[in-house]
Amino acid sequence: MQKSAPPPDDELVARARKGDVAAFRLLVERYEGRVFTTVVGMLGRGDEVDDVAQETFIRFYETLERFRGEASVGTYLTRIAMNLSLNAIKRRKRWTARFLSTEFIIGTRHEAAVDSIPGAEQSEQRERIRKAVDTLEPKLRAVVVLRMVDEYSTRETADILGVPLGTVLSRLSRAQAKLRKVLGPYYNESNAPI
Amino acid sequence: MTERERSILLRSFDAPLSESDAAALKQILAGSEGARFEYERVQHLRAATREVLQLDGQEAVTPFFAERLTRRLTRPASPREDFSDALMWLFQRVAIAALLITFGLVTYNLISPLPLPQSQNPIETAFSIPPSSPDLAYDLDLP
Repeated sequence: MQKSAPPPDDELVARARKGDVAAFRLLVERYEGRVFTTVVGMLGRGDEVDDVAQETFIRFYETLERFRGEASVGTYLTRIAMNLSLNAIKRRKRWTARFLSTEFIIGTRHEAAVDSIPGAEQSEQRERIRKAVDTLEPKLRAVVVLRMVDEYSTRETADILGVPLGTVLSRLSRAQAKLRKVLGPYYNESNAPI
Repeated sequence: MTERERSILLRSFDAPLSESDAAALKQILAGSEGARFEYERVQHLRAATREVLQLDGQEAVTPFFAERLTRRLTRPASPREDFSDALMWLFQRVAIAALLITFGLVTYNLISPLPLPQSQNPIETAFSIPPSSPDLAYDLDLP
């Protein structure tokens, strides 16, 4: 028996608007990976990630009426996830400034991440890259996540962040320079990562 | 390297290239060691970052995420949520009414023609607070 083609996004959005929760669930299943990648890229691994990912889809559900399809569902969700992640970083900064040192927070997040990865060498390499990304300030990290991880073009990245194209290019250049600086001793640029 | 070749190389970093440009890029990289080095330098850094963060993202998806989310969306509001919403609704109205009353009283007190003691400060006047000072408290009539 031939398997029928999965329904396109616009059809699922139209059904979800009419209150079809099953259609919305299909959209969630289709885009949960992308949303989690954006949020983890911005916040690192931790309990906060699930909350922000849930909030992203809830915002989307609540604004389905306003979604006109000018951007794709994936881009629309990425924009919401990015804004909520930046808000979470602001909240975290306020909380950290009040109660804890940044080193403690970053250290805790990294320990949790390393523990869950099988293979020490692989986890060590991943850890280096995570730490390098963590050293970037949120504005630069946002460009890295959208441009280098989610693979949006420079123009799309500028649209999602609501900044001029030149700003994205300059942030990308600063971010790459910082990443190279941090990863330099461990990274053989003419070949694959060591 | 010609201006066109340079432009193709730079565009390859910004967005996917058309078929003809991708073929041209392949030729540029085959013909110039310097261009190939720069291209690989950028691509390797991007690929390594992408690989790690995408893997982290996939691993971070919690079990039954879609199920939990849709259950949350379809769940009727609990009585507790109803109560807190009602409290919030009431508080907002009470706060607005209190602000309006305060504003009215302050305005009335400030423009009221009642004679006020010279020593009274503006806050005491606005809120019609009896003047307070050691002299007045002990009702002293010192020279």
